[in-house]
Amino acid sequence: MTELPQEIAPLTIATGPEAARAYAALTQDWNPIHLDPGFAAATPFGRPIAHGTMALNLLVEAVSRAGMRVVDLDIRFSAPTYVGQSLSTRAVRGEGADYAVSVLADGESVVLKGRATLAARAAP
Amino acid sequence: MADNDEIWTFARFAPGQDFGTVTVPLDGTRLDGWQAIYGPVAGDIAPDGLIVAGMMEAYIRAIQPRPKGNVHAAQKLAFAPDAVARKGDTVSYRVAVAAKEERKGRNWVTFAVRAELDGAELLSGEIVSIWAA
Repeated sequence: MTELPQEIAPLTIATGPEAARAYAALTQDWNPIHLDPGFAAATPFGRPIAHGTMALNLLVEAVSRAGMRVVDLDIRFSAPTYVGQSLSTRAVRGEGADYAVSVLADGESVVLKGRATLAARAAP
Repeated sequence: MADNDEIWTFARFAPGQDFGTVTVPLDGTRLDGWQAIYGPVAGDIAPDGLIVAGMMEAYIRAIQPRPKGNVHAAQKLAFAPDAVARKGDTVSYRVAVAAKEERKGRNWVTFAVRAELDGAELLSGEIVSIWAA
């Protein structure tokens, strides 16, 4: 059996209006809370927030680049990512194949947190 | 899939409600969109995240029209261990309401999504949303 790493190498991306539009097109999620500063100004967030799964998929991609796969995952979006912030992943092994996972905005605020069970990716 | 012009409000959801199946091709347009955000994809295997993006697309397309300002609060995922999707495959996603709850003045809805490729499960999961209306 492949030894699981203690930590998955972090992966970082920049968000921004262009990335928000690209992600909206990718998922067909044109919710104006992500794209329209005027609409977002009238919400409790005050300005556009990134799609939640932009951060989730960064985590999924970080796991994939480590040659692994999410067996199961349970996360919550704990804070908004404001469009323009950077996103960085963290995944630290606990018991067995369980990892504490999170994504930070601008290296500070935790915008996604939870747990995941990871496994080495089987050869296709 | 829902087929009417009435906005899907919290009041219209019921546990067990089935929104049918949405098919999402893992085509060049979607792959280009993925690569614009996350970087190049080598080989012919589709990124796992592209399947998750398809899950979101299916959830969005299955439930229309919807109010503006819904907030995505939480998510669960489970990939079938040996399942693989390749670039160009078409994934079928079944979308249903798993639960709904009003809590602290907010409308929480849990949607269950199951993705299949050629009849075999690829991914299952839940999307928890705070519904805006």
